[in-house]
Amino acid sequence: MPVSDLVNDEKQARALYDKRKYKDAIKLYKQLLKHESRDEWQQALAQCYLKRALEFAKQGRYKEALVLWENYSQLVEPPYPDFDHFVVWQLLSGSEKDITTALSQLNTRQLDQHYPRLAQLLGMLILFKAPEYQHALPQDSIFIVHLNMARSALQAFRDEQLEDMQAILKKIPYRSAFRNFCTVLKAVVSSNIETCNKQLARIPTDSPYWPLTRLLHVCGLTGSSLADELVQLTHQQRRIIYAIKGLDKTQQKLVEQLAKNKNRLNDKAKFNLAVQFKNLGDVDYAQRFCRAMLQHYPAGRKDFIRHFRALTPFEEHRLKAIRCEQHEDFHEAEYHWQQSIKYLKKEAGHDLEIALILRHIAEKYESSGRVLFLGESLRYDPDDKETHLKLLNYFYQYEPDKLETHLKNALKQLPEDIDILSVAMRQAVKKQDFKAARKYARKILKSDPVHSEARLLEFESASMIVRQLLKEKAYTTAEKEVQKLKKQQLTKPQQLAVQILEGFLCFSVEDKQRGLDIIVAALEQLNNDSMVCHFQAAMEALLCGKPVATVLRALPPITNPSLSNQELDSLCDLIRSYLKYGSVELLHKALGKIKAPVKKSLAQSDLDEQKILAFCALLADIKYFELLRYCVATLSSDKTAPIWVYYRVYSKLNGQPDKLKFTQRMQLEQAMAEAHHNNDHRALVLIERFLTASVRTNPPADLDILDALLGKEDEIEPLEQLFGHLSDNTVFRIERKIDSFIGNLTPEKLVREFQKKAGKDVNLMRIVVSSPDFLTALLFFKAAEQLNIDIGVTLQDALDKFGGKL
Amino acid sequence: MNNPFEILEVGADADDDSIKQAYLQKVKTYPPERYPQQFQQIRQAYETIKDRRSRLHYTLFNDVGIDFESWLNQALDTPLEVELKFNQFEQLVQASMDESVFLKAVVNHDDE
Repeated sequence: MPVSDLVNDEKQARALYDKRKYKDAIKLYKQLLKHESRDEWQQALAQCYLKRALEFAKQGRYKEALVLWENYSQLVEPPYPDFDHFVVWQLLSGSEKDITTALSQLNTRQLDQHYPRLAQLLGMLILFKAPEYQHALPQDSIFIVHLNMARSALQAFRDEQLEDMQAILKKIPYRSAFRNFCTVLKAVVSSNIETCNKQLARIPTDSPYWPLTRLLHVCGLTGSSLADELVQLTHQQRRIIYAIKGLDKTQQKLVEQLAKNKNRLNDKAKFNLAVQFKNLGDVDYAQRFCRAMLQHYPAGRKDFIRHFRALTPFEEHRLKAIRCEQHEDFHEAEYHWQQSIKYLKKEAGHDLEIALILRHIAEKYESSGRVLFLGESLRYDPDDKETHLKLLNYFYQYEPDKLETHLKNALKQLPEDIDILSVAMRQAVKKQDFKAARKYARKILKSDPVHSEARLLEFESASMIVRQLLKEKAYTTAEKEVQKLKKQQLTKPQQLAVQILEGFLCFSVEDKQRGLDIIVAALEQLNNDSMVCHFQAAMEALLCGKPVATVLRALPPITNPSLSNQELDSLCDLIRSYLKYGSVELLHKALGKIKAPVKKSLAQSDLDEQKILAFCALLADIKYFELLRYCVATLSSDKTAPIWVYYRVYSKLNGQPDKLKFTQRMQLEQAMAEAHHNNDHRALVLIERFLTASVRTNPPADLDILDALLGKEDEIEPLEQLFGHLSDNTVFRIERKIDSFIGNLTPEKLVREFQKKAGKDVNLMRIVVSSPDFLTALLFFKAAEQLNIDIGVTLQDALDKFGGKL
Repeated sequence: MNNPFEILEVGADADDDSIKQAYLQKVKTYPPERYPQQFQQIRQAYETIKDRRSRLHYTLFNDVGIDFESWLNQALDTPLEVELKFNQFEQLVQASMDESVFLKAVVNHDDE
């Protein structure tokens, strides 16, 4: 072969080796060696054999790997770098003789230092499976010393000499090939499961002791965790653990079934297992599990009844209701809850359950629907605070005229409850019944002496009582009340407020001038600004029924009116606090006394826009339009923000939405669009509310025309006559039911359903065509039937009402 | 396991006092500083069944029975701690020594 060919072949062989094509590389190197026995080619060939052997081993083809190793070892001088591989391959598939030969080739250094994993594996093998291997190993190695110690420890364990065993284990050093062996043995004899698990956690997953660690861990489990692990083991491993854990035959059978079905353990399989092994432990557990499973596996109902007691109708409906809720079918759920209530009512002692179910249904409803169910629930459980509070909150917000009745009821049931008393206290203040407010405040303070709202309202109510007494000229009683007030623990402003009352008392019964001096001194301490001071003086005089002008004359006059931001805040706070206790008319009168300086001050001051807006909002609240108009005209003439547009229109119309003109509506609608665009929520809400009110108070005429054309009033009548007797609750439920099925129902289908009942003599479709409300009646019948409610109206009744029109 | 009765290890007919006792005992075993998750679960379980009203509420709206795990727990209720004899230990060692034990010695060597 020419030299150039040899060079090419060598290059090609090296490339094949790099590409891990060892088989082809071997062929080429062999050919090259036939031409010339070069040492480097021989080494390269040896490496090819080794790499190919390792690849075979990776695929589990140890015999092939061993043959290639033989070729490799003939080309290379010992010691071989990957000799531990060769030993393991021999252990896996070699003959005993080959294994012994391989082991005997291991030297001391390899065993003690180079191959720690092999040493660990050999240690385990010699201890538990093949003691004869020991003789093939270098007897002067540390490995052999530790092996003998480990063997002694095992012997001590066998002899139940645990202390001796521990002592021996302590002598085995940390870096020994038997380190994991020591840890496992310590775990096995540890006093409790926690210590055992802590020891076992030290075994690395690549240790030959790891599979044993896993089995030992399983021995420390119970219940479902034990089952989960057992099904992952081999049958032989499970049998050993059954014996260790003391599982009886039936339990073993259960685990075997679980192992068999581990990859297809669906609801049905679980249900059947629980039925089959119901006697394992408490039968009630199996029954409770199967009962729960019926929700997902309804086909098991028959088996359930056969193996356990039948479900009560209550339980049947309860479970169905929960299942419906899980599928978000709340209409159907409500039906089943109502049915369960029906069965609960048949036996005494279930009032609380009924109340809880009604409250549960209530949660699915909005406002008025919710109130109906909550109210009904109190019939069965009258002292549930949460329900009372929910109802009071609703009536406070949406139906204030009904609040009083419910408040009385709540107070009757829970007379000492602070939250209910707080509602009563606030309501009494709102009604200006200050004696009642003070009574509730005192009751609250008895249970909670630091209740801040009650403390404040007790003082304010007592002050209002004194003012009323002064107004009624009941001075002796007023004097007593003032003295009582003075004995209370008061803040500085409260002391000054009492001083004002004392001043008015003195003004009325003793010395007018002294009285005025007392009043003026207190007012001046309370207020920095003369305008605010005048306002408060006027308000106090009005509340006490005393001459306003006299009191105002006693105060220093307002010479240079100028409101700062802070003073405007104070004025707003004062108006707000009087708004709580006094009437709007009095506020108007008191503001009337300072309106001139306020106007002047507003025109001159450089006030913050937000402060002015807050003032405007307050003036709008108390409907003091004169000052509001002035504020808007003076301060917002150049302002185009939606909120100012609103206040301009609102103040111009004196807050009367029915006076809204077309151009103003256009202005507001434009402002609303801008507010929406600017995310100005405050302006948006105010404008929207005003526009809605304007439509409500002055509806567009064309709607009336439409109603007149449709003859709506006439058509409502038969429906009213048929179903007017039904309670709001029933109508509510029927309507919800209709909502649930109307999407899948055509009028034709509905009429067909009822045509069968009506017979051939009547044509229901003709009635529907002439009176569309007849269709509504049919919907009512269908819903009532599904809800199982007897509404006391028949199809014949409806035919009588609507049929007459034909 | 989500059943509050099982979490507190009380019967379905337990009264307020015994539930409170069981709760306090559990809190002692699982103090919040050391076992925040378990404590949270215990606290939640207690709140769910602490008085008659809440128990009834739970039974009506949440008690749909027990899950498979809970059923298995009592069906395979075995003592946690076992005293392993030498021969049992030896059996476990033998059962653990399959081919994977040997392979690990090689595979991990390769990784190095």
